[in-house]
Amino acid sequence: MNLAQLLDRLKADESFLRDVTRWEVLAPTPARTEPYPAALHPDLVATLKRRGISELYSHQAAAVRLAADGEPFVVVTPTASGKTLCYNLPVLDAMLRDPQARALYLFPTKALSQDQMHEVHGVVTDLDADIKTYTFDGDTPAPARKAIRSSGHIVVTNPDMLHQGILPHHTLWVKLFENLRYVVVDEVHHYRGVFGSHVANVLRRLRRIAAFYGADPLFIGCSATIANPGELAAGLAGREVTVLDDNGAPRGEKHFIFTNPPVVNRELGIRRSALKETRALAERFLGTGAQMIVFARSRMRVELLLTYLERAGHRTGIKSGEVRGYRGGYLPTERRAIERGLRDGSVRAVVSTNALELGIDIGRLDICLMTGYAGTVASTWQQAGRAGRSQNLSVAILVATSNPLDQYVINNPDWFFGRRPEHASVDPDNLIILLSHLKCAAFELPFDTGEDFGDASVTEALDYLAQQGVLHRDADTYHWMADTYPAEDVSLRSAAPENVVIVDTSQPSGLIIGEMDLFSAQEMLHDEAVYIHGGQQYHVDKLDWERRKAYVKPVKVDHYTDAQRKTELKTLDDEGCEEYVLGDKGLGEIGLVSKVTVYKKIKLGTHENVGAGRVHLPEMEMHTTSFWWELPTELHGQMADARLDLGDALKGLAHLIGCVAPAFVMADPSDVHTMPMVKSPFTDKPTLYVYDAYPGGVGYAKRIFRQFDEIVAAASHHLEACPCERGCPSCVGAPVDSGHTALDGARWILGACRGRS
Amino acid sequence: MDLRKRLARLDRQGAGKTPAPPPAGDPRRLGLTPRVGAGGTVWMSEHQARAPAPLARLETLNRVTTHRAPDGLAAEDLLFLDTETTGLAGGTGTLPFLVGLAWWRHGSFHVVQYFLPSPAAERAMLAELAGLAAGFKVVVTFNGQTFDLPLLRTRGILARRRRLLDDLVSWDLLPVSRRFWGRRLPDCRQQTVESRVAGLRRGAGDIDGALIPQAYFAFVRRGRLGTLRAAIEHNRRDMAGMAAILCEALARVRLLAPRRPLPTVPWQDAWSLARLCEARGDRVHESLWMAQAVTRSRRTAAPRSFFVDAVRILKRTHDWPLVARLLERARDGHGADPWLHLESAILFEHRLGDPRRALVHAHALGDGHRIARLNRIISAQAETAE
Repeated sequence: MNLAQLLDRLKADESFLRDVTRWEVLAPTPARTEPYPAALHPDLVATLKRRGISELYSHQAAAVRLAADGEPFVVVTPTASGKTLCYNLPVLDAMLRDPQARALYLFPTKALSQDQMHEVHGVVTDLDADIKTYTFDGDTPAPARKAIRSSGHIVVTNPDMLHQGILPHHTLWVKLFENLRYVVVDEVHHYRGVFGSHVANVLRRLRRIAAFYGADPLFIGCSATIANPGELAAGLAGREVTVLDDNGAPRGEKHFIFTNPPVVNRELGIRRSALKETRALAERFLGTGAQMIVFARSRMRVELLLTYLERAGHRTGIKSGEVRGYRGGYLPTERRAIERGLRDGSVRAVVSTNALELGIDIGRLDICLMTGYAGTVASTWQQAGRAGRSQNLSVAILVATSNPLDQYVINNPDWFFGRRPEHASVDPDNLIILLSHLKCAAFELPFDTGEDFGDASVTEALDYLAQQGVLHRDADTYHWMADTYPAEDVSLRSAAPENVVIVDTSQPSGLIIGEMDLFSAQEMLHDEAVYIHGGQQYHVDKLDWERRKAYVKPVKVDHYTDAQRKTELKTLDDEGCEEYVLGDKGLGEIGLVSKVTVYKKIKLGTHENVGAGRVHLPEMEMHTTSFWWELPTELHGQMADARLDLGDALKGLAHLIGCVAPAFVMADPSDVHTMPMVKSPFTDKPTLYVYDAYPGGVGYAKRIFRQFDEIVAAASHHLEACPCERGCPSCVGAPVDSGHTALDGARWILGACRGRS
Repeated sequence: MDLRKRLARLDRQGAGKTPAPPPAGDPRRLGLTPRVGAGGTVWMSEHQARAPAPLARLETLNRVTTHRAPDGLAAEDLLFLDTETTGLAGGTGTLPFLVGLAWWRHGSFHVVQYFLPSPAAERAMLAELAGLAAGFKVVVTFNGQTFDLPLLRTRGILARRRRLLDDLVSWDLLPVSRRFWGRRLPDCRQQTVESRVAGLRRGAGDIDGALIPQAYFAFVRRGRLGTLRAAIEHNRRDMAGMAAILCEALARVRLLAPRRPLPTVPWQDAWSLARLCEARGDRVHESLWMAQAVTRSRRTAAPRSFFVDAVRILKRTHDWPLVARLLERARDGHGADPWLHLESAILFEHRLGDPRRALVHAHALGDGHRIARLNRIISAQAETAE
């Protein structure tokens, strides 16, 4: 059965259509092309024409013109719109004119670098020019490194390698830095939050080193569609950039279907599990022979779905190797094999986390199923783009979870398909992140007094580091003065650099099967936890917190575990307070002490609670940035008059805002935490805190402060649209969690806001 | 919140204040004197010791060095170099705060040490170093090829002084020591080679190299002399040690092709000499040295790699009974393995004409062709005997 037939079948399927909130058919759009700009090197034009590209898409031609004018830019067009030519054309053109010219390509992952290198390599081979393209990452063998340093024209790497392997050794890369003409940053929208804040600093260091060698490379970025690609790219580029978003590429017909599983408990607003729904859909598609990708939002869900699909596969005669899982924590060789399998068709279905959302070449698939909203509009489009990357017919299905963010999106398809609602946040000046990179930068090149770091004025921070003894201040220069290699201690992927190593003790010499950050490890690898990895359940025998090791062994049990974290909050500093329509809104620094105390055992399949246990792990302390909304104290009495409980109302609002806000600030719901306080010791008033879940904060709270009007309006709208009767996890939380008057209380407060605005 | 306040939270001792300038350590108290050179003031110390330069043709060392020096080299063309640094991490941020240089002149060994009272003095020091290096052809180091020289080049680039020391050929005594003595010594650290090969003793006053960065930090941050004096002394001894190792290496080079009968050396050194001769294609001396190694190692437990080398080299002498004895020793010491069975099978079949013993090894190898062939030979021999 081909895809068109499959769609026809779905269109006639009443039980399927009943849950569909939107069936969007994106009509095919024809290409808009232009002749090659005259400035482009004739050899390059001839080669591309031989490769069947007779003209350029309009956005590609515009990119060539901007590069020729020395204008930095960011390309914001969909997956498979020929984005790579937007940077490969200017770069190859520069190299054909000047054999000394160099370019650095940055991709967020190693896998993408490999992929990109093959693509450039193809063009270069056809060009018959001496342009050497190399990937340089942790896998590059030592003997090859020397050649790459001196003779690589295009060096393809990732921010981690730039940070730890290239910049601290820049004197070995003199040729590259002296002749660095272009810095290409793909997947710009990925550089947000913690990772983005780090990478913005790595690029500050890169520009500083390039400047030392007299180079001022032109920045070219590529991004998925977000509301502020220009702002985000400018943060990385260190200057204003032009946004190129007028897509000239053609598009095949695409069916984008939103489905919302039916409510199974109207009172609690609980819907049928998205996991089960996706499982049912996936099992249905599995038998058709269509190639499929299934996205799940967590590693655990990937493993659950994989287990289910493998079982279903067995029943229909599909071999286990034809259904694969794909996520962080799998070994690189395993991942490469799965990618190959997807390209050659030997893997028929893959269940993945967002690890496969990025442009890793896995060929064209027919169907994309998303278990839950991908967290951002940009990511959702990227995931959906995995189906039918070319001009073919394709289908993407989003299955909403009961999560409020999902419910918000699924019930507001116009929000999703309409204007670009998402703002990416970074805070390169996050103190911990900034200090980490100042150390690295000082190691790379001494700082002159008064020297800025990117656009940050850092004299005080340098003095601080001098006081700490890692820098030494001479008359007018700060020198690195320690016997360590600072980049080694800074991980770009986490706010805190340490990891817990997971050891399988059933293997002869204790096989290491993965790593996990400390925070997550407390929740997923505590003693007695059931941890799922590679479709296999593991029992955690012991979490050795001191040694950062979790000892596990494979088990077969009918449950998994879910740990609960308890958090205390105190306000440290008030950065700004403004009057809001109701009460005031504030922004500042807070201190948090949190502790994982208990875990629940949850039965596989039915997801019912079948037991619990205590967790004994040390507290984790964190300072971060928080937004807060302080409500008038009178509310207490006013609400009591209306027989409402302020505590319930705040809990409900916290639940609601905590899950709607991430949609606006491009955060994962776990990036932003909320805490309601009936009487905050700091404000002395009823207060709702919304804070960044990372030490020092990475910009989410700041953006929430700026966009709070929109967020409250969206929350209000969402609450009114929610079909539940007394509050549910999709809006203010279930009454059992948030209290029996949470729904009415939240409505009351939001109504009061509307009344005053 | 502004940076100052956030910093203050990190460090309650009151960040945001400009750090007090460190109490200036006085380099004079370390026995150093200032000199105003082309690039500014450098702090240095000079020493001279009576030490005759080696008389042998220096360029013969090219046989065992990684890089080749030009012919007609004089002892005066060698510049010994050793740095003390703020760490071993590599990368750009490691500071060579002490650069020791030494050379032979008029029957004496001159040592000059440049010291950085603070990192700011580095530029002048590198200028001085570049000027001085111009008078030499070879830079002699111990592990300098991978550590000291790249580090100085890196610091040169940072100070806008490219190609620092690039005109000198690098003779690194670490690989040379490994080639000559690595099979005998527990490790090839400079101090091990010095004491076990050249008989030098550092004495109790020597500082552990790992403590040197901290000694420097204490001086820079708090003006404390502490063990820094010992570090400077340590650096001077390193240079004397290198000179001694170089002389020993030159003596060893002469053993690669000795005119007289072979002197007796420890068996591991004889093995090393055999390997070096083998690498040069010297069939005569490779077997002479290996024969000595085999004889002198009789009462010791030699590693398996020794037997592999010995069998390979001595097969070329066609002394089959000796090869057979070696294989026996290898088996006694390390048990039988595919290499041993293969060598034995070939030896007994083709060299010693003993197909029955060869057959045992062929079976152990599971080599069907060889087993069939040997069985044919054995039955043919049996027929002939009848």
